[in-house]
Amino acid sequence: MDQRNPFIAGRWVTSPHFYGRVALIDDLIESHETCHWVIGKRRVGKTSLLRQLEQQVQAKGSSFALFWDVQGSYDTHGLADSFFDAIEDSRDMFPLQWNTIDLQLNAQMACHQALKQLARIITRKYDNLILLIDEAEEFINIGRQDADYLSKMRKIMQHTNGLRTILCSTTRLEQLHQVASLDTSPFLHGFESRFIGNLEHRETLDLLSSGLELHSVAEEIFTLTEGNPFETQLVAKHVFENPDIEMVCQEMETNPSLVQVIEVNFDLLNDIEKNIMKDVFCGKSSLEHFQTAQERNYISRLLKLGYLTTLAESSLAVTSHFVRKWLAARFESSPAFHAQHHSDASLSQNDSISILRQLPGLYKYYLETAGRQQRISNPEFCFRISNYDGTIYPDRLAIKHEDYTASEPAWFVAIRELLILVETFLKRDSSWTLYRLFQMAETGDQYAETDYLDIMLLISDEAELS
Amino acid sequence: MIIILSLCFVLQNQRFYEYYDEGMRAFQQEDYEDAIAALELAIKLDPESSANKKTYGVQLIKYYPYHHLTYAHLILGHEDKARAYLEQAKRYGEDRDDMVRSKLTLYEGYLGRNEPPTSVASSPDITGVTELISVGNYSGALQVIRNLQSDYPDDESLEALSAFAEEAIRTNSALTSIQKRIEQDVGDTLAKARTSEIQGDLESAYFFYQLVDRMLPLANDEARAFIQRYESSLGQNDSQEQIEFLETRLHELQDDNASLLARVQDQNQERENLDKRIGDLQLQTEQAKRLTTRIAPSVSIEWISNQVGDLFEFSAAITSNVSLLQAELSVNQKIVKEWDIRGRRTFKIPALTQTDIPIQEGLNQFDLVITDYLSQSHTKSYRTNISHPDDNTLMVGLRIAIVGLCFILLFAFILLQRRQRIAFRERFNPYIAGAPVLSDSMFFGRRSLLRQILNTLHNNSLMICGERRIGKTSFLHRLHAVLPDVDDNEYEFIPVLIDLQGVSEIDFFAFLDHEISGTLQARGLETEDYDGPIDARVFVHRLRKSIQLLKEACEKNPKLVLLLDEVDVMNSFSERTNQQLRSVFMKGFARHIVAVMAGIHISKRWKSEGSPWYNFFEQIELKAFSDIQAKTLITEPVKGVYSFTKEAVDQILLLTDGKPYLIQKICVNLVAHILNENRRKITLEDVRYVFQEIQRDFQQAVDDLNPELI
Repeated sequence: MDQRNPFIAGRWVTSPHFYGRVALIDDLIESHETCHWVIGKRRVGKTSLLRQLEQQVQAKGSSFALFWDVQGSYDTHGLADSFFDAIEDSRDMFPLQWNTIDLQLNAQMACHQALKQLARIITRKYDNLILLIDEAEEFINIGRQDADYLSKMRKIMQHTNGLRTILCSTTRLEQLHQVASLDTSPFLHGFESRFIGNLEHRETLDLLSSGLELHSVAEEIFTLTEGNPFETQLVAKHVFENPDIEMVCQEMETNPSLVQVIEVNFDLLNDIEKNIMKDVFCGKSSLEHFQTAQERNYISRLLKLGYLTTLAESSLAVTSHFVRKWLAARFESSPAFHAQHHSDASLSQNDSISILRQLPGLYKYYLETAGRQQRISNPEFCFRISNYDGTIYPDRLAIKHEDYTASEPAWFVAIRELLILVETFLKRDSSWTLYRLFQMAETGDQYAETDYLDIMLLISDEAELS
Repeated sequence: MIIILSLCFVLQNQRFYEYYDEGMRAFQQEDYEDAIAALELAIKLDPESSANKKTYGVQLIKYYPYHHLTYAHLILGHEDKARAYLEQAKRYGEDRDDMVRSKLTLYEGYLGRNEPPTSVASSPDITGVTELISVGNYSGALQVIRNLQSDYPDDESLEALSAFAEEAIRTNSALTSIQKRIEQDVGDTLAKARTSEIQGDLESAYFFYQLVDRMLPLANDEARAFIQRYESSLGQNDSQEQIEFLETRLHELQDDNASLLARVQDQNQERENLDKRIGDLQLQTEQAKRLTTRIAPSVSIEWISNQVGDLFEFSAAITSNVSLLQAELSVNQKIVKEWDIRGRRTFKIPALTQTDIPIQEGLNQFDLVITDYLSQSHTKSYRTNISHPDDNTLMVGLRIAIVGLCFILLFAFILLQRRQRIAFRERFNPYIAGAPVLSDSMFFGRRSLLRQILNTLHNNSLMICGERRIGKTSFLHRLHAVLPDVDDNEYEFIPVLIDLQGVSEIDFFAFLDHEISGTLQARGLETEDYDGPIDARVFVHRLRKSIQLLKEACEKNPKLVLLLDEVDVMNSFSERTNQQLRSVFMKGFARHIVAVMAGIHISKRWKSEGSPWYNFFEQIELKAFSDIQAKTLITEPVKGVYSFTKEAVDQILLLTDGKPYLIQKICVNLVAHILNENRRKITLEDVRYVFQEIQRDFQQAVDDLNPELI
């Protein structure tokens, strides 16, 4: 059999497959705070961090750690089920430690009571019970159904002697404030938030050296992923099978698993964060461009979470080659993806050259709309032009769509609607090619979509040259 | 190597007519050396010429090798051989053919004009004879004379020499017998003298010693010493009367032994005569020697070695201008044979094979030491490279191996033919259009992916995506088949094939549990019965116990591989159920579980705040076959039974776009079509015909694969 592929891009890992996070783990174990909230994006290694913590704490022996995956609990009963299951799982993994613990839990007991009882029994033998809660976003579901129960849980987590709690989740858990309005303090108050981002350079190289011999290859992978654990493992796994890193890189750019994780992580961001990401990608990379405190706070968080990274001279950049590629593809597919800012002006007749230059891009947006069997009812007020990069993008707040059923193909509807927009800001005879485009559209169905695309590209090129 | 050996074997077993055919081809191409080689092999196998020679079956050929050999040797300047083959051609009646006869006449005329100087002199060379006579070897001389007489039957000098040699032998024989008799008599007389001397009868002793002294031409020391001793004693001590008495006594004794004395005298006379005769003969020999022209001895040798396959033959033809005595052959410094060729001027060493001579693979040296009548040695050497060692065991073994191989090949060929006939008769059609491929022999195009997945499955769960009928289920079945046999140092893989088609959400975990329990039971591991409903929690609880059972039963770490087919059904399940499934893989025992899921697509509409259930699976897209993979799927399953023309294969590729299901569908119909027509080759026309016949079904299949296009 061939040498086995040592890279793991999927399930959680612990030592010896676990790399980095030394300072964070030390901090979480040694901290005087009793409650921590570790925030990280998807596939960054939160579960592995908790499993590693569990292993280290159990190995050390002074405290007792319990890993509790609350995902799928859905309600208080489910939460109790998952808690009992966590205990069963822990008994299975650490039988020696559990042999010294006399725990008789009633299966009908509520989760908070069981937790309290467990903490009491554990602290008879150990300094602390460290509760490691994974997928804490599930508390949003529970909070939606029984907000009071969350208060009880919070009380136990924060006020039980010898109990220390470490929650892991994405930024989604912040929504807990919105969905579960507690009469008392918000659930996450009292939780010290920590961020888990990308691996350091050294840590990434250590991980890669477990299966790749060439240092240069490891460096190249780090340049692509900038230490994102999932991306690093996935790329390394494929490079292990195919040493042609360039080919692997091209494959990874469209790898459905990777693209999916990038999409999921992008969707975790709020609109301001998304706009920051888009702006940074479009070249708004200097910190000076972001003036408001709110923007700066978000940039700080995006940096900690590993979405952004800082380059020389305080310039910002989107972390990871693959995220940049994904963003480029999104921008390419539709101008609607562009970041929207109130400061950007609405489209006017002064922007005629920009309209002509971006005609193919605008066509994509109209095609997208026609594909949904809709049309834009207010073309004159629905587009803005970016102050920063001059991109014309639909104003998501102002644009109005109406349902539209046409017998023609969607692409022809899109051409016709686009020309309405063009005619709003330009004269059709402002150039021969534009005139020709209108002429073609009026003559009906004797031209194919590619004929229109050709002439739109020609118009765009002409405008670019002008 | 096998092919070369087989060829050697085949060539080695060529029939005479095949060599003859080869020779004639070479002859026509004016390659006379090869023509000679092949024709000589032919006549070796069958020397009889014939105008209607039977070859195989009822095939007859005109088999006249000798006149061709004559011509070939004439061209190459081998007139001796040409002459010999000319004789053979006549002998075997090739001259019965008018054309051949006219050619032979032509060759004969040419050879007649170029008659070589005869090697037989007008008068015999008797130097060898005289030399032998001069050393007294009359019988050797007589043998040489007789040899010469076979060439010169009417030669008078040889006749005289023969008579002389015979006479000399006789004389010599008589002389020898006389000498023997004399020696016997002398011995007897000496014995008598000694006895008388011992007995004190000195007079008798004196007499017998005197007799001995007279019998021998040379003085006998013993007799002479006694006589002198006795006579001196008589002179000093005895009277004259005593001497007279002794004289008288001696005379008396002489009388008594008169016959003995007479015989001694006769013998002496006879010996003198013979000596004289020998002297005369020697004189005559000397005269003959002087009359004979002195020839410088010269010996030439034509080496003949021939190797056909593993058979090596060696011979040599010795020609000399003087009579020879002996020839001695050494091979690689070892004397292997001696021949007495006394009196002969030409001699052909009989053919020797590797069983007679110690040849070896590589360069071999042959030394011939020829001794002529003057005892002068002529050493001639010949070196030749022999490619096959004289290793009979090896050669026999090799032959047996080749014969065995040929039999195996023949057997395989017969089996193949039989298989083809049976396959054809039983309407063999291996393509599978619809059902998953279960057999390894029909698993095409995905082996590389299979290897890649097997190499990573110990640590990673996978999601295989692909359009309908692209081969996802077949792939899972193959994984299910190979996983138990994966040789892994750390893990023992236990695959569980779970088809989720038609499984409702409420039964989901119970169904998983049922399938896993079934797999364990098949391995002899009994899981606990459970009567109640199996939800996620119960499932996790039971799965933990199942893994515990496996850990106890397996020598290595167990790795339960859940092969989940048709996971698209999970798109309709609630996110809670999906999350509960995901949480299974977050448990501590999850290090003993991996999953390979197969489906068309995963719903990305994920509203829950938790992690999407699918995000720890790496997705692998199962794509359509490449042209090479598709060609393999088309041609390999029916290889040896049916065949496709290139155009047919190209057309199938064009119609199916590498979709394995469509390939199988069109191929299954193609085979059925040609079977109906009792043919084995699939042509472009067949593909077109079949495609037309099944166009509606085919289009339906295409639509099924791409429902979004409808």
